[in-house]
Amino acid sequence: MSTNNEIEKLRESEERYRTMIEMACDAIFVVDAESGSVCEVNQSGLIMTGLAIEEIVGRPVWELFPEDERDRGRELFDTAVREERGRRTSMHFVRPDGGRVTLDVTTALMRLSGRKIVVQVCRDATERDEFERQQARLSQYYERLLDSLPVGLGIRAAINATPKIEFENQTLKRMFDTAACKGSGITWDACRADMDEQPRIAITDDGSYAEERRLANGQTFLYTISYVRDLLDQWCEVTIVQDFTRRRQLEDDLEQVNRTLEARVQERTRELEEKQTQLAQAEKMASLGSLVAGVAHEINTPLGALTSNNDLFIRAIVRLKKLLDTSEVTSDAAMKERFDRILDSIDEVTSVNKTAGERIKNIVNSLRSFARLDRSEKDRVDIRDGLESTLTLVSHELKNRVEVVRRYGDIPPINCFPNQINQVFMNLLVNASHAIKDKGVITIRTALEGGWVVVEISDTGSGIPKDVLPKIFDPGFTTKGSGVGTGLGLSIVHQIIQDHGGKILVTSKPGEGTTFRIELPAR
Amino acid sequence: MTASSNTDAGRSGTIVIVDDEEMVLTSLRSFLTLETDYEVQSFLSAKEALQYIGANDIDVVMSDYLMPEMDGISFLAEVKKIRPEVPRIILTGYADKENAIKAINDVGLFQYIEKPWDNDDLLIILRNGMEKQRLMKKLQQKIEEINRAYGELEGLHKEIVKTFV
Repeated sequence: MSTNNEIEKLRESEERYRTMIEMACDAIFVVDAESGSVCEVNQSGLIMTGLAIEEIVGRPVWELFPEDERDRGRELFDTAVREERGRRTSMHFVRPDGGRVTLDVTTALMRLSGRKIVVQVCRDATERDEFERQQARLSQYYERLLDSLPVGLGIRAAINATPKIEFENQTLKRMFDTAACKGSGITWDACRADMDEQPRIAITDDGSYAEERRLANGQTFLYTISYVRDLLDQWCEVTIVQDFTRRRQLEDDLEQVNRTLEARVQERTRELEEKQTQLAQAEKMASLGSLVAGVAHEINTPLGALTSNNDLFIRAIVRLKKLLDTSEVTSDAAMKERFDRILDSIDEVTSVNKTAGERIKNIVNSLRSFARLDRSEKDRVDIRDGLESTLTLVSHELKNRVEVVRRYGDIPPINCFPNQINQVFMNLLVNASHAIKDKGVITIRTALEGGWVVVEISDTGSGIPKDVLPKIFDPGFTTKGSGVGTGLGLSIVHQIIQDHGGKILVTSKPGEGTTFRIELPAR
Repeated sequence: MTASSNTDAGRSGTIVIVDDEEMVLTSLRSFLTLETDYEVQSFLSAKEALQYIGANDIDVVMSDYLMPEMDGISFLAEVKKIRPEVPRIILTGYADKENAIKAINDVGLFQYIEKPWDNDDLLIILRNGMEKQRLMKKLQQKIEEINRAYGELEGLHKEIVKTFV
């Protein structure tokens, strides 16, 4: 029974085995290891070869392959027998319809009931090959795609001591394929070493971070680094590199242009402010000019009448005296005495009147010559005349308080705008007078020094503090308190002297006084 | 000036003075009356002065520059039209010398005097003006005499020709 049972079991086992072989999708050939001829073939084998079972069984297994593959088939079989272990290879095969396909052929030596057999399993690999080709094409496509990117792309394996470069696209290679980089051995993943400054780092919204790397050779790269998991679920570092050299250069240029522009704007603003000051000054002078013209006319008419009348008095008294000398009225000594007293007192006052008239006339003339109404254009003048006119006008400031010492050296007439130069003298003289708190001296010196007409106005006033000295020619700077000065006086002085091609220098000692030195080209 | 100079021939004649300020006219009139024998005709209005000049024989005219109705330059230009031989003087308190000089050239002034004026200068200028006027008159007279003589000569010439031909 037991034998029967065993036989039964064996039979069942063989049945299962046979069914499995029959059911298999792969073509399976059972080959006698000694002869190499096929003993058994399953259904798939018949379909694959397109032959009847009688046509297969008994034939050497390698003869199933096309002629050009038979040697390899034979070798495959021999190897399987010799090495007693499985081996897999790809073989060409011609299907019954004439189509050539690739087979994955696996051969293995087995022992079955003491008998050596070789099992050869053939699987149609066409689809798999096609899939692999597709995969390869896809992979190439992606690579081309990445190569075509305008940015460099590099992938390194997860961060460890020596990260391995897994991929770099063509753009990235080209970027660092320059003579400069090669010369200094710079590569994209090691370029940090050659940086001449700290990278500018910015963390972006999506968690990647960007940094700008500037090489000593001037090249600038923007690195954007992010992390992704690779096919093996390992972290790797994806670096996108953009050449920022040109852009950085442009930005730098732009910055430079901006700075230049800003400087130019400031310059223009300053010029405009100066022009404005000048204009305001010119307007002031013009209105002063017409004012002076009006005042001169208004004063001169009654003054003319007064001086003429006074002159008439003087002449009349002379005649009267002559008449009286020959008249009988004055033969009486007492009477003559009384007449003389009256006439003498009239003489006295008419002489005072004459002096007073002269003085009014001088003031009006000074005013006129100060404003130079008759000469608002460039003219050759002796600036000592201007100094004198101006002194007449500021005499009320100086009277009994400030002594004016004139040390006029010989100077030639110079080409200038006399009214502007007088304005300068006016400002300097008034300032000097204000600097003298109680009593003091203003010394005016003129000289010709090597092609320059020099005018020095010195005072014995309070002087200018050292920290203030550099600012005194700035427009709007004043020490006189709001409402007293405009702060424009000295800036106008400076401007006028500059316009005349001259220089103005100031030296001052607090407590001792100040000297303004004007140098004008004598030409 | 001495009393004897009153008889000076150069100190007689008619002078017309125009100024919109009465005080100037009074001063000038008084002074000239004291010092000269000129007949002084003074006017506050240039137009009235023109009427007088048109109707009377005068020797010198002197005018202010700035006047409301008609300025001194326009006035003297009118005088030049009526009596070109009369010396024209402007007396001004106006300070714009450039304009004044331009005006002088335009109107052909004899003299330009600034206010306040000097009486001695004024006397000399007026006397020179009068002298010029007198000489001009004399010249005119001579020209007329020459013309008359020429006319006579012409007549004589004709008669001679008539007689001999």
